[in-house]
Amino acid sequence: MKILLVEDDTRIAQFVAEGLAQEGHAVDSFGDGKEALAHCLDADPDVAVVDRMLPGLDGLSLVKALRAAGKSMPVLFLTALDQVDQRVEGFKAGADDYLGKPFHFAELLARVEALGRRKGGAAPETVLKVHDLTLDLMAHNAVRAGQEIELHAREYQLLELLMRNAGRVVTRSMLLDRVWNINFEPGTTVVETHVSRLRAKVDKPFDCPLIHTVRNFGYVMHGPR
Amino acid sequence: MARARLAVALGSGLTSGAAFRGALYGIAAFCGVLFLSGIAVLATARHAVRADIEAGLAAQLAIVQEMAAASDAAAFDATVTDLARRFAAANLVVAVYHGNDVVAANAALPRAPDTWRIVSDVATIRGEELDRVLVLTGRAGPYTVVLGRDMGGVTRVSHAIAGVLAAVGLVVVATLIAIGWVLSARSERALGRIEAALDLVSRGEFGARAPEAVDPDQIDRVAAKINIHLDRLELLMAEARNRAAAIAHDLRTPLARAILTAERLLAEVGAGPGAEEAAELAEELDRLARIFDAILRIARIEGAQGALPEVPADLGRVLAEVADLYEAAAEAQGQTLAASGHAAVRGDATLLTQAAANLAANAVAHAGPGAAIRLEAGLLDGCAVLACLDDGPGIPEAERTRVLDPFVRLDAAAGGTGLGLTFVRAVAERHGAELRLSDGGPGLRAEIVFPRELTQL
Repeated sequence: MKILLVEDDTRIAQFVAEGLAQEGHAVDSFGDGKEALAHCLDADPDVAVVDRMLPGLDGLSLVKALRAAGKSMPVLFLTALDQVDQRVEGFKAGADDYLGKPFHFAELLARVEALGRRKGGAAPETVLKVHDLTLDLMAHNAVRAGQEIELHAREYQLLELLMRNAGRVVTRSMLLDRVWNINFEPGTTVVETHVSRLRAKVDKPFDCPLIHTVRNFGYVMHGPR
Repeated sequence: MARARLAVALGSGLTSGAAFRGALYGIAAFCGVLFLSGIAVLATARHAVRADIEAGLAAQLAIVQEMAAASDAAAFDATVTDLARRFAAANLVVAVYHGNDVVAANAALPRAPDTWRIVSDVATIRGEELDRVLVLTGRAGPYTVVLGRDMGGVTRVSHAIAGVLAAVGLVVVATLIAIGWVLSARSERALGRIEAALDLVSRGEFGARAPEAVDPDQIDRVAAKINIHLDRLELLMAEARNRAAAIAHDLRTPLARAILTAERLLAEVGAGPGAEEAAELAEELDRLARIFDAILRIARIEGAQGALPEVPADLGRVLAEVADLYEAAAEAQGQTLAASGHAAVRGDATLLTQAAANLAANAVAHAGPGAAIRLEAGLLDGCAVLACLDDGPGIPEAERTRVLDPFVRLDAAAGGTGLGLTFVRAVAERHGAELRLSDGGPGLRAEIVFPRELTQL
């Protein structure tokens, strides 16, 4: 993926750029909002990662300007300004995701990759498939190896999110954010326990697990490799 | 507590105002003065009227005595008989005796020694019955002349004066009460406005001010003073908030750098020497970031300005969402967790959700395996309540206040930042609500009790 990084802290910019490059992405890094805007108008990055407090042109204005210029690439704000009202401002300006500093690189990577995929999917899917598990988005049912799996509303939402991102890591904070719409530390193992319930239905009765835990921060769905 | 006292003082109404009390004192003083001066006026008037009557009677007696000296007996008899008739028309009573015989009389006046006296119940020839008659007895040659004048006039004058005084007193008292009432109502309203402003400020609306009149009275001067202090408070709060925001940005960026560096270090050392230390470093930095985030969230709420959202927050729904989030974690420990009830408050649903989540997380972490955890929304005496109850070991009474303070953890082994309940308290205070921890008999009962004015029925 072609990723635009707009971050004025050189050390953070360097870490992020190197980390993304290591994962095989091409990164254009800018420390100034105006320069980044000028670059964007003729280059078309797949995803933009933008700080809010920037010299030249602040992040909010940059994203508004991009949207006004008809640029629709997904944007993630990476900023120390991550209070509820500031997040709302960010989404209003046209951002697609919001990550507060300090952050883990793996969290940023997972969110950027999830955003990058969103851009490609032109036709809306009606059926998601991972190995022998099928999720019918129209009929709202899950079938694995010919057996229908009964799911509660939350379990369905969790599974849908994991399957939409099949092969990519979905972090715990992304799940909290997207499934429960909360952006605070829940203080106990809430996501883990919900995922383990889901596993009990989706994986346990079958011989090959599809939901895999990634180190200590997220989950990825894939078939046997 | 202070607010409750103020409410009680104002609640007892207009009659408690200083202006009204002043009017009451004025009325008491006025009534006293009116009473004393009334007595003096009455006494003087009675005395004057009586002196007048006495002078008249003495003059008339002198005339009769002159007549007795100047006329012969037959002529005198005729004259006094005529006089008695004329006197009757002029409300004078007279009886002339010769020895014990009545020569002429227009009323039943007994003979008496020569002196002034008051005679009661005198019947006149006109058929009147006079209550009190002032009588002068004197001698005129061989005759005894008894002259009297009805004192009813004095009583009537007294009554008239007393009546006028009473009417004046009534009008003045009524006027003073009305003035006191109006002034008291005005200061009551002025105090009410000051109270309302202080109430708003205590709930975080630092821009609220007590209104000041163009033509200031004492209360307005107090209001002006209060406003000066509120201005300073607002300034200090703004500074504190800006400082918190500056710290947020200034520390978050280096913390982000440190975490990224630790992650890279962790990746580079792999399983080699120093791996354990690198992992520990990364973990400690994470912890630091979490604590820091929690402190900032609390600082943000404590420094929050402006009104609470006008939209109602449905506590039942907030708790249902929280229960949905934590129910699986509770089940994993053999606990049950359920939400019930309804109540709506004017408030920030996002903050309330996080506060309820903290209470639920605490219960799941500390109530122990098999505990039953209940999240309840409801009303208590017209106040909305958000409660989290468990039947675990609870918190000893001596510790219940302390656990609300930052960084206090009763169970150090359970991890956590020690800021969860501090956050809940900050959210409660932002809403003017009270966080109460009590014995759940058994277990812990944690309640956020909202003020009545935020409760929406």
